[in-house]
Amino acid sequence: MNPIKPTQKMKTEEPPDREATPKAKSKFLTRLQRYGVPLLLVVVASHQFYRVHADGLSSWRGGGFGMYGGYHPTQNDLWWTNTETGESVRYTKKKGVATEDDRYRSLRPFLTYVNGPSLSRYFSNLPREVQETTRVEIWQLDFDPTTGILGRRLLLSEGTEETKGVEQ
Amino acid sequence: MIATLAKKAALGTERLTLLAHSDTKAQTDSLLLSLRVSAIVFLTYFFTTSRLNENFQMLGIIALFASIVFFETIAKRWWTWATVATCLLVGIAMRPIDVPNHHYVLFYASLALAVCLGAEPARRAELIQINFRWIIVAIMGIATIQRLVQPTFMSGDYLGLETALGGFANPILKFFPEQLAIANANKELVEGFRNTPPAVQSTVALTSPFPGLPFIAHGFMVVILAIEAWVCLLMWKFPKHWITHFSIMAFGASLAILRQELTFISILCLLGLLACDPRSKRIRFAYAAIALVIGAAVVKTIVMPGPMR
Repeated sequence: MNPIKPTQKMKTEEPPDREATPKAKSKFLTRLQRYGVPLLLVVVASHQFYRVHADGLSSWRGGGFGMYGGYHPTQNDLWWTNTETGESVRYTKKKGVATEDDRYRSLRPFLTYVNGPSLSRYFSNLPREVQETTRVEIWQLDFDPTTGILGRRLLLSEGTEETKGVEQ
Repeated sequence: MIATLAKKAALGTERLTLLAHSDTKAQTDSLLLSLRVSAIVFLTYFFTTSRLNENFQMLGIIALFASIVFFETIAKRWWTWATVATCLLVGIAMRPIDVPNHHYVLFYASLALAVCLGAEPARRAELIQINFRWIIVAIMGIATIQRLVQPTFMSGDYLGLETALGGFANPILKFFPEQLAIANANKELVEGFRNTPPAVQSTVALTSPFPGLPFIAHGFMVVILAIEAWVCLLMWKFPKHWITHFSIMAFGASLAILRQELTFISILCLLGLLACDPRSKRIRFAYAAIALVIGAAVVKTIVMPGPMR
């Protein structure tokens, strides 16, 4: 009986190459094809959610599917008041209706995206004499179904007279 | 005995092949139908909301979608839908806070079609079902969460105002002339109120067209939340069940009655068509029929507008 020579090495099979990279890529691609677009939707909507609650973006816009969550942007009014004469002009975003005064067209985004810093920046770019005699306010409707009373809520104000108790 | 077994095996294989072939054929037919309906719904949206003033641009859009409807090879190419997605993305990039949510939905739909049609032919049908199933789940789930965290919605304030102004259930309101007159009177009051400077007039009293306005407002709130959450849950757990698709159609019908959101209903039916089982002929037919009829109604309102609401 021949003893097994201690120097004889048992041939063992090399572990197979895992080739994990192509398989992992294929798995990732499959998952991307299945869930990539719905995930993109969730990411965009999450971003919109943040902008609604942090920046005053209307819940009706921005791809967040928040329609009927609050008042529509067309239910916001922008009032441009000349503090010297007391004359006030209303601007609102009406569907399909061109604004009567082109001056206010640049103010349109503020009705959808009530953002304090943006309105300040806009206001500071106006001529000095206009800044000194103008107040711009953004108002939103506020209805109480219990009493049937429709009021208004001031969202933002910019101008010569700082309105007390600005709400957002 | 072996010969008998071999004969049976051959017969079984033949039957299975026929079944698979008809299955594949059903999937192919379903896909083609879905793509053609998609093209018509997309075209309807572009036609009704596009700001393309130049005739040649609109002609290009019509040519693109007409080619999808009439040419199968163009409809099934991933780059066709990638082109559509790019056009929609340009619109979003230019006016991200102005474009309606339908625009976003159509962008996701076209992108999903491009991704799915770029895959191997054997996996396309499955990929389309999965994509659109999760798109519907995401939209309904997010919409529900959005409303839950909005105090104006949960308190019924906004819904109460829309009810007082006749913005809800307008087709039904036409059968109640007294209530319709009250709603119209409220609209005039509100318009007058909004035209008056805030310093001059701070409030106005509206008359409720129906008794129990707070109850109605809260009722609308509960129904909207419940139906959206219900559709989300059903599509998540039972994407192929007929009850799921019936619920989606019922949701669309409720939108048609309450708000006449015709464009969104046709898009919703399109999503349902793409998410349903290709073998469910009745469900597919129902979705396609609703989407096309609603699309025609939308175009009709643009071409032959009625009185302003």
